[in-house]
Amino acid sequence: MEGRKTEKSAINLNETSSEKRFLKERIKEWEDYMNLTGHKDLSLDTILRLTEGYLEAKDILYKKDMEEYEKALAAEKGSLKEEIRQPEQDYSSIIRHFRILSDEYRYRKGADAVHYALGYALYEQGERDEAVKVFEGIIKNYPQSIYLPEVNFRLGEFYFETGQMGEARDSYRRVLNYPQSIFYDKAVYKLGWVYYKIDDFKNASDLFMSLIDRTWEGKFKEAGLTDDSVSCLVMSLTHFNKIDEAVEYLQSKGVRGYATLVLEKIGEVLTQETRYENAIYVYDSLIKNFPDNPNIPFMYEKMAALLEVNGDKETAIAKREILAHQYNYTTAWYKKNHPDGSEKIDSLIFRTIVDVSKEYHLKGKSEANIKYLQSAIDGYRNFLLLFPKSQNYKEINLLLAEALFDAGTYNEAAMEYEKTAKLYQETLKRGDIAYSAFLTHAVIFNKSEGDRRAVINNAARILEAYEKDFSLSGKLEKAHYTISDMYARIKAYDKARDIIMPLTKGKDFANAYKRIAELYLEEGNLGSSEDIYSKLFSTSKDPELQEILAKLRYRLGDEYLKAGKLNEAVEKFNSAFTVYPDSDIGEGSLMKIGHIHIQRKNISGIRDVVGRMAKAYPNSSGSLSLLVEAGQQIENDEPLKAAMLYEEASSITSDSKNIQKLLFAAGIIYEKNKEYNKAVEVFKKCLLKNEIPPDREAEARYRLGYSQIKLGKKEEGMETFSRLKERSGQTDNIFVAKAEFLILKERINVYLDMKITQPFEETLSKKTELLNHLIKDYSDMARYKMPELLTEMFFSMGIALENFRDSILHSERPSDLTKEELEEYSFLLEEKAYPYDEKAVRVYENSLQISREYKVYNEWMRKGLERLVNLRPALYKRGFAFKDVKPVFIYPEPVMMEAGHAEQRYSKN
Amino acid sequence: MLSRDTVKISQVGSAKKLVPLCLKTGWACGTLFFILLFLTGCVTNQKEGYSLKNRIRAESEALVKKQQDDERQRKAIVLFNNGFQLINNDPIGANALYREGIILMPERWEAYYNLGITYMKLYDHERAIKEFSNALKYNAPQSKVYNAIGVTYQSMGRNGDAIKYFKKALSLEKSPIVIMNIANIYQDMGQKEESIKLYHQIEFVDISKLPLHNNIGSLKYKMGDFKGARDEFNMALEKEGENIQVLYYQAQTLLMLEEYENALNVYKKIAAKNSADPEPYRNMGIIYEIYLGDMASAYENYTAYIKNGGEKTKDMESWIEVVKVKMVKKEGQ
Repeated sequence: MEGRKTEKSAINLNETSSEKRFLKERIKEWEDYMNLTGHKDLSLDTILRLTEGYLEAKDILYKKDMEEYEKALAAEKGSLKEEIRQPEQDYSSIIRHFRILSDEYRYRKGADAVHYALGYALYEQGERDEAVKVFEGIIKNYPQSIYLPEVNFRLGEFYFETGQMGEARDSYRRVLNYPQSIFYDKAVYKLGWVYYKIDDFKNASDLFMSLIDRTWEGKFKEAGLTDDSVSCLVMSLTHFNKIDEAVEYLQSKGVRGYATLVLEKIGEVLTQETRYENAIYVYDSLIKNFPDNPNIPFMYEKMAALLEVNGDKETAIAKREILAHQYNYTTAWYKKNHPDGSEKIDSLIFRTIVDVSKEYHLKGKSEANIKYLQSAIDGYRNFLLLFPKSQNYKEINLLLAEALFDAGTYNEAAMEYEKTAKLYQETLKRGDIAYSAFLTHAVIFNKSEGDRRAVINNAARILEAYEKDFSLSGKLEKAHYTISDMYARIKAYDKARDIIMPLTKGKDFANAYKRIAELYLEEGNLGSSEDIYSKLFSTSKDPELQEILAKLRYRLGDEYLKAGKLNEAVEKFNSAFTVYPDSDIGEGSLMKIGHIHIQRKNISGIRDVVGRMAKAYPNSSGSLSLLVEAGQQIENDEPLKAAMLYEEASSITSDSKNIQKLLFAAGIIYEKNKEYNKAVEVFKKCLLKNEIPPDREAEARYRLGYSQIKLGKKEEGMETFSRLKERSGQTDNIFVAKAEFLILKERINVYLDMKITQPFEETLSKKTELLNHLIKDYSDMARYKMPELLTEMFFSMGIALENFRDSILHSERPSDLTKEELEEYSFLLEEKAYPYDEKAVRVYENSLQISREYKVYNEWMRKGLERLVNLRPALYKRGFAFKDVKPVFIYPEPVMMEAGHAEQRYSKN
Repeated sequence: MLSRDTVKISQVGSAKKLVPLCLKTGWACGTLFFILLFLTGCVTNQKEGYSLKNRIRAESEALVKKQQDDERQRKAIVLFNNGFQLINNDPIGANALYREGIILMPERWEAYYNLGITYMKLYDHERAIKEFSNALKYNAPQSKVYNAIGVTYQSMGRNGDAIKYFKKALSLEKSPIVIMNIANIYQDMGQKEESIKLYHQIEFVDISKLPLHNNIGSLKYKMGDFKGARDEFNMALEKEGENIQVLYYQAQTLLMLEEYENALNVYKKIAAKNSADPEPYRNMGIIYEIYLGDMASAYENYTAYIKNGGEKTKDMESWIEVVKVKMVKKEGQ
């Protein structure tokens, strides 16, 4: 084998070298022959034939040299050897010889061939200016030359390359006179380029299009040129001023088999040039004008992509929707254009439906727009319908369920979740999806009204069916709690607890118990709830539980309180305090106990609570308020105990105003209840306080003096009043006035006790003097301008006057008078006394008038009126007609018969 | 009632009567024989035949009886319903209707109960108690009946018995109505502490239709706690509706509190509601004359007292004279 290979390559080498030798011989032959030029008249025909062979040989050799060169170059790549020289084509010999020949043989037949060969050689040798002259000479001197198409083409190329477009155009145009020439198509093509270069895109398009028309579908097809022409046509059309003009241009040219291709390519070019709107226009035109183009779905896709780039997402999505709906495999279009199906289009539709639906879904969700969500739902449903065997089926089904959920169509969502869950084999994922179905039922439950048991049953069914999956995905407990909550919401508390009960045996038993306790609480079964919380707290000491338990016990206490079970209430409040003493609940509980003791008027209980309050909450005002409230509660029934509580309260507050108020309250109670010793003590305490305001001080002094007098300590009392009287300038202080009244009362007592005895005139005069002073002093009391005092003042004056009258009437009679004289004497006394009776009546009437004017209906008015009734019964004795005040009994009402045991109604007697 | 044998004989008899009829119609003897056998029960099960006919007859009798009962009941119900309509305004008429109805339909407890109420209204307390007791024989709700008996005893002034029955009612049902009635009796008996305790028991119950505040007000009035009474009467008027009796109590409570102008306003309200009663005019006249010094108004009210048939006209005439003098005197001033 090895030997045969070597042999074969040797043969090849031999062959190569013999060919080269042969070619070189031909070249030599031509050179030898041409060297005869000038020496011999050579045959032009021979020259041309030999030249043809010469050029062929040169060309072949050149190609071989190039091949070797390239091989050598490849072999030497990367080495630092001497540079290999690139072979060059050398036409100098032919140029040299043909220059001579062209001149000598100018007028011979076939001279155009010599000129052509010279021009060719010059052109290839790079001497193009001279070549152009030679070519132009041919055109000028040999108008019938067969070389004219090529010569013109070469000239056109020269002018094109040198930018002389006018000349190039003329040269190419001349080629068009030879439609059978192989240069014709090239010339058309190049002429198109010339127009393109001079921005005459319409002419360029015409030329490219004419070339495509000629070569399309195999007729005159020039390999490579058709594709190039299409590209050039596309290029030209994209340079039209407006893209619609380009489209119109194409339309104006009538039906072309390649029109859709061109439009598609225009679209691509415009897209590359970022002329998106133009590209969209082109695709749109394509769709409108070529509805049966099998690539239309892709046009839609491209349009949508461009619209998206342009930021018009809405139209993009609309286009994709059209794509999905009008071009899927169920449509007439599809069946007509792709009767055997198209994987590419199916795939595109598949992608599009998913993308569009997801897009709508996202948008609908983020904007909470039901319209978009419905579009997503429709899209997902469409997908499931079109691609039932797709691998993505379950994923899309899940998305459908999510979209339905987001759209608020919970019943359908729940159904789809369940359907999807069944499609999944993997337990974890299936658990998640089934849990979504479960939660959807929970949402349905929350949203619905009326009987919701059916909803709970659905949720329970899912829990039962996917219990293991829930367990694996860690959702089992949550599901239990959720169903329990639902039962609780319909007040089926037993069921709610039953659902949670199994969880009490799990890891998170504490929370389960806690929830059960909460359920008891919601149900109103506070006792059971408390039991559980109590046990939980005793094991965990969780501060949260501590607070809950305290609050619960507090509530229980309140419940007992409402039911009138005070002992139980106290016990609960106590336990609330004990479990959480450092809290508001603790303090509140003690306050509640205090209030219960107040209600029961249990003074020792109140004191006990106050002591505990002071110890546990030293800064709390609770103790103070309890004592005050207790005092107020028992004030009517046990005023002295109330006063003691007020005193105690005053000792535990530092607020001077409160102290004053409390001491006054206690003092006044003592005074009213004739505990004057204690009253004196309390009011003295009041006066010892520096911050006592003047009006309070006046009252305290008055009350102190009053109690002192009542204790029989008249001197001390009077002294107290005297100190108060020093303030008698204060005409607006009632207690100063009252003190004066008391002083006057002492004087009036002396006056009232004074009898008129013999000697009559003397004692009468003394009593008269006392009366006048009293009347004057009482009258002075009017300066206080206090109506309630004025009534008392008038009453006292009336009493004094009546006493004077009676004193005269009952005065001691002289012992030496006869019966007749005594009668006469009595008559005279009556005459003397009567004016005082009249005066007393007037004074009482004044008192009544004051009462009417100032609407002061007090004790003194009443007493004055009693005196008037006594003195002038006809004028003042009146009696109100009163009815007997009786309670209303509830009498039985008759009952109706037809309704069976009708409800009892009641009437009042 | 026929015995089974009697029925059998009469059936045979009726079959024999059919013979000539059958011959006339030309029926075959065999067929006739079969018919005879059938009718005498020889072919069919005799027992079933008897029981069927017996049942039909019994059912027929029952139907007639039921129709008669229904008719009787219908009549009774009409009487009871008419009695129910009359009971408040015409207790005598109602009483007659109930009694007639009970003859027709003696098993309805409601009839006895309502009859008892008519007797209560006619102050025939003994009979009322008897009828209430009859109602118990026909399964009347015991608590309801005991309460009715208690109220009747209370009306008779037999407070001890009343309390006994109210307590019996209470042992069956914690009715706020019964509690209130006991509290009222304690109030009447002067056992104020017991009374107030019971009133407090029903304070938190929905008593919007019960005169609780009125009754507590009445108790406080008697205890001399006029301020408390005033507050209760105010609440009674606010929550239990404006009752004229409560207005009277409120007015006189205000007089006790020496709130003469307020009392005057209440009397004005009473006079507006019940202008025929002379007493408010008397009290208004006194307020105007003595406490407000408005002699003209006093004159008007004293006159209105006489006009409305006030009994103490002599007193009133002298007061009118005094008022006239006071008016002249005032004008002179």
